[in-house]
Parts: sequence; structure tokens; C-alpha cells
Amino acid sequence: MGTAVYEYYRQTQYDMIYKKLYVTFLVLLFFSTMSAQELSKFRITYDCDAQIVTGRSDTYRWTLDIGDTTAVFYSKNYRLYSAELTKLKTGGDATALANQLPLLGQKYPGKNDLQIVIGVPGRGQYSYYKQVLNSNLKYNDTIPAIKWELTDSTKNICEYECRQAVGHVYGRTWTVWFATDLPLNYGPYIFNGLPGLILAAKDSDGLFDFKAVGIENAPEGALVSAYEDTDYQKCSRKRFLKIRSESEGLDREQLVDRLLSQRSSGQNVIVYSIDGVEAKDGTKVEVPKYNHLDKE
Amino acid sequence: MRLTTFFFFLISCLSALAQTYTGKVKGNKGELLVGASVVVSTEGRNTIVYCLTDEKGEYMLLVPNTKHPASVTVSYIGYQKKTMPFADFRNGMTITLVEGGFKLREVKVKAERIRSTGDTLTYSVSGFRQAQDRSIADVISKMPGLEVKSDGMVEYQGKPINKFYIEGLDLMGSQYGVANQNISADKVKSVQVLENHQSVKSLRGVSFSEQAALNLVLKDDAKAVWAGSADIGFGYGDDFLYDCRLMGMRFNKKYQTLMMYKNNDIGKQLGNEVLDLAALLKGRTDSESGFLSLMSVEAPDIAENRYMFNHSHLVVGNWLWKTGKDSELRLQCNGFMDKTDLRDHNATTYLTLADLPVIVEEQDVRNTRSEWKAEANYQYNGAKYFIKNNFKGYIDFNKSIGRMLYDGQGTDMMLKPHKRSITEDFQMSHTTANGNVYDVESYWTYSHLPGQLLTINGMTERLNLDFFFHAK
Repeated sequence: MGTAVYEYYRQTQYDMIYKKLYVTFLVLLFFSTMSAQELSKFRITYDCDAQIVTGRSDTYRWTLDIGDTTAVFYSKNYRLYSAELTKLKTGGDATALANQLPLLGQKYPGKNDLQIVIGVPGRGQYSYYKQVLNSNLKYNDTIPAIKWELTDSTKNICEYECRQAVGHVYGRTWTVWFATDLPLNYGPYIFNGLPGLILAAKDSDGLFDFKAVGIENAPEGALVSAYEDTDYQKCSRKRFLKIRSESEGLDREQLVDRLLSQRSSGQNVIVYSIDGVEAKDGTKVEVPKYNHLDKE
Repeated sequence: MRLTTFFFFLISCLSALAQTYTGKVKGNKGELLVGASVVVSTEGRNTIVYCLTDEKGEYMLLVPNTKHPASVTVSYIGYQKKTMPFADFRNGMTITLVEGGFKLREVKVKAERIRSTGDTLTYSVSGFRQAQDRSIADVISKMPGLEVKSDGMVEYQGKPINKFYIEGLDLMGSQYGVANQNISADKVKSVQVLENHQSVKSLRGVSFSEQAALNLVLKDDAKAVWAGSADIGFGYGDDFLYDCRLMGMRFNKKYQTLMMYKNNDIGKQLGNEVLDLAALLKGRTDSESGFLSLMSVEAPDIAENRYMFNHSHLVVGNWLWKTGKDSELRLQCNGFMDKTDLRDHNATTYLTLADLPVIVEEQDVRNTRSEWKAEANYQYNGAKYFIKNNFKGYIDFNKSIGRMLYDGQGTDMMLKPHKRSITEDFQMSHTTANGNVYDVESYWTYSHLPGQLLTINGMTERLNLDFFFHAK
């Protein structure tokens, strides 16, 4: 998880032919991935109080759409935000966009660009989608087998009786509560492997606190799928973690240089900070060390 | 022989401690159930051990006997849960679940703190309200994008709002401060911001508005019932203290009212609540001020309620009737009475003049304000026509009486900056089918300012001013 400190705007001038090719390619990709998507049956909503930057707590709303063999964990507000941003970008006016950005951000609070599809590309695997600075990255990995230790504590969450379990995932210790009346092998984030749906999860450092706020049948026609799958660049988990750690603890100057160095020829990149001030001055740390759901 | 016995003993010991159970979980049509959960629990329903079936639909459990297993529960989403006594559980057993019978017990998601549909942003009050928040204004000031200024004006994205609706009706007109600062936050379900709000229906799509409007959506139990509240506070400090509020209101679909009496002598400004928040008046305020104004002294740079000696009373009444589908009549009146004592002591030392070391200047003033306003507003807001007539009057009996002592010499002071005014504002517009707008507006205001001023030698000077302002 991580909030985008910088929003960026690209203006790419494609050749007409190139553009057409690109569109065809997109359509092809779209159809090929369609077959893997299934309809979701249940929609679980979680609110997560998280300190992505230590000391600054925010509430993020997450959705978990569960199908027969796959599930997707995402932030609905991010999808809405992203759709509106795309519409704005096609408008083409960079200054207007820079003015609109803070308002748009306010309209969709508690958003996060993380998406996880469980059970894709195959059983026992997951696809992880995340933005690091201005790169959209995705990787596939095996779902970690969590050795849960069950305790005798029980608690009611959303009118479901839940039991407590403690487990370790990617360097964090989590205390979770699962509902035995909902035999679904899922939970927030990539939590799995309990004989019931996980309705609450809290880490031992007190940085993340998930709690279910809605358990519903999924709306008709909702697909278990990642949003804008084709916009993401594939890499390995190891590479992703490396890129992520390199992108943090940067000061403003370093950040701007980095964003500028990433452009390919033919692209104009304009960097605006989210509050609309000129980006290239000051040496304050602009990208702090974030707290992530996975530590290692 | 001994060794064999030992191994036999060891094996039986181990098997006494834990036993492995493997088998399959199937549906009633013979389908393998992948990811079904098999849970072994004690009599107290505590889980001893569990597993989820693998891709072949197989389970494998290592059950320690020492923990007194009592039952085995097998479940899979969409199938009926099966529970059996542990005694019936056998190694190699295939467990069959019957399809159906599962109905999700839904828990509906509560409104997110902010929801948006088109041009409307809905802020849920419960999402922003904190324990110390009383009035809806307290909560509104916490909502991102919204701000409540010190005079009570509400701004959205830095621009003043153009309407303050309660349940979609414009009961308060430009004096929405009363509603904002006195309606309790627990009566309001959500606050809606209607972005780019054009209040004139016939101009929607024709004339664009940059301003937003605010709408309070009340909780169901606060609608269509008389709601009254009385807050009474007394105290004793240097003086007898009071801070009271009596309120009655009702919000129906066709009739709304809000009445209030409020008083205090603890330095709270009540006059702010009935200010005409100018943004709603297209810049036309009946603000002709005379040459005279109430006396004032220099105010210290600390919170007003720390130094104010006041006796304030405020009476407010607002009524709105929906006379037709598109028309409404609104009556508003309010009176504000206030007595404020001002005391000023000024000592000036002139170091250069030996025989005039200190000049003491003292002022003792009592400002009495009595201001009355009434307003009648009729509005027809149809798809093609818009007619509005607003008639209002204002009268006050303000005066300042005091005494000034300058270097031992006393002077009486008296000042009556009275003002009376009547204003009529008429607006009519017609939008034709092809989008042309015909617009007639008339605005006139007549002000009479009979001021009085006590001058030296005890003579009272009268100063009468008359204004007539007309705009078309």
C-alpha cells in the first residue's frame, strides 16, 4: 500500500498507424484475458485503519469480490478515481488537470491502487498489482502457506461468530478473526487457509487494522478481474520489492529526476506535486518510507 | 523380542497421541469439493485441528487424541454443513455434502463517509461526527472541501454556497446561520453538496453556476414531527450568568418551520446567526450606512467571550409553505436585543513635559441594540418560468450612552444611529423552447436613517438621511 505523492501527466504523441496497432493489440489482449474471468458471487467490504506513513492514520475501504475459484481484493474508490482521471487526461489540458487533481483526490477518499487477484494465473497463485512512483507493476507468485495458530477466543463481527487465529505472512504477525459459518478460504489482502472467511485482521505493530463492514451477494454481472490489467508491467516479486524500496526515502530533487529519467523518447512529462506547487525546488524528503502490508 | 515389544509399545503410544485421518469430500452429484473445510472440535466447540481439501478433494488430519475430540464439521460454500460425532469419523472416509441450503446472511455496507453521484456529493454525518460536536455546523466544518467561516458563511472549495436547503426546501434564505448553528447533528443523516447548483429550474442547462448548494438530509425520525429542545444554563460568577436556548421545529414535505429564542450573558455573539450571508444576495445588501455608528473601543487580541459583558436575546421565526408543485411562500422574522458595556481606561505619560506627566482618559459606554427584521418571499420555480418577489423590512433602536472622562473633565455622550429600511426585490425570467431567456428584474430599497447625536453643551443634534436605491 502507498499513497501516490506525485501525480503525473503524460502526453504521448503516437503515429496514427502506431495507435491503430496499439488498439488492436489491446483488443486482442482483452479477449484473451476475458476467458479467465468469472462472475463474482459475494462482495465483502472492509474498512482498514492504516498508518501507511507512520503516525498518520487513514481509513481505506477495500472490496473483496469472491467467485467460484478466484477472488479479487481492490479499492473501489481507486477504480472510480482512475476512471475519472482517464477521462480528464483525454481532455488534454495539462494545467486544468493539475487544478482538478486535488479536487478529484478529495472526491474519492480512502483510495489505494493495490489490487490482488487470488487464484490467478492458476490455483494456489496470486497476481499483485501496484503502482511504484509512476510505474504500474504486477507480479505473480505462489500464495504463501500460512501456519495459523488457533486460539479459543471468539467475537462477533457483522453478526457472525468469529474465531481467532494468529499467523505470520511476509514478515508481519497478524491476529485475524474468521467466521466458521462462511466457509470461504479468503480474507483481506492475501490471507487464506482458514476454515472460514476472515472478517478482521490486525498486525502486531498496530499499523493495519482491517474490519469487515459489509457482507453481500455480489451485484449482478460483477467480474472477478483486475482493473486495467493491460496497463501494468510484469516483473518478479523480488524485482518488485527492489524497485519499491529504491523508490522510497527520496527527496524532491531525486524524485523529479527519477520521474524525468523514466520517460521514453517522444513523451512529454510534466511533474506536478499534488498540492499544485512547482515541483522542482526544496530538498525535503518527498517520498517517505512507507509501511507496507508485506515487509519482506 | 524385547526390542519388538518396545517398538510395539512405542507405536501404540504414538498412535494413542495422534491419529491420521485421510479421505475425500464430495458433493451429492459426485463432484470433488476443493477447498472444503474439515474441522475437528471439542465439546466446547473449540477447534482442535482443521484442514482444507486439496485439488483432489482430499483431506488429511492429524488428530491428537489427548485433546478429547468430540465432533467433525465439514463445510463448503453453497452446500449444507455436515456435523458428525467424532466417534463416527473413520480413516479413509468419503464425506458427501448436499448442495443448496446456503443463503448468505447479508450485512449491507453502510454509506461510505463521502459518496458521489453525478454532481452530488453526500457526506455521511456519522462518518465525520465526533463526540464533542453539537450542531451540524460543527460537523460540516470537518468535512473535506467544506468550511464554515467565523461569520457562519459556508464555503465549498473556497466559494460561498448559494443555497442552504433543508430536505430540499429553502427555509432559511440568506440567514442560514440559524439553522446551521442550531440544528443538532444527531438529527441529520447526511449533508449533500450539489455542485454547480443552479437554483432556477428554467435556467438549468442555460446558465451555468459555479457555486454549490448545501442540502441537509434529516434522519427519518426527525422528519414530519415537531421537535423541540430546551437548553438552559445558569451560573454565578461575578454576576448572575445565563445561556439558554429554546427551539421548536418541524420539517414536512409541504411545511417547514424553525423557531428559536436564545439568550446569554457570557460573551457569545448571537447577532452573527441572523446575518444576511451576502453570497446569496448577488452582492445587494441593504448596507446604506449613515455617518453615525455605535461607539466602540479598541478590542484586545483575545477571544471575544473572554472580555465581553453582554446581555443578548435573539428571537427567530422561519416559516415556509409549499403552495404548489413549483411555488413556495416563506416568512422570516427575527429580533436581536443586546446590551453591551464597554469600559476603556487609557493612561498616557508624556516624558518630555515635566508638569504634564500623565493624561488619563476613561470611557464608560453602554451600547444597546434592538434590531428587528422581517421578510416575505414568494417564489415560483417552474420548468419555463421563474418568478420571485422578496419584500423585507428592517428597523432598529440602537443607541450608545456613556460618559468620557478626559484628564478629570467629564463629558456625556449619547448616540442613536437609527435605521429603517424597506426593500423589494422582484425577478422574473422566461426560458423559451430554443433556450432564449427573457429576464425582468426590479430592485428598490428605501432607507431612512434618523440619527441623533449629543454634542457639547448638552445639545442634541439630529441627522436625518434618506436613501432611495433603484435598480432595473
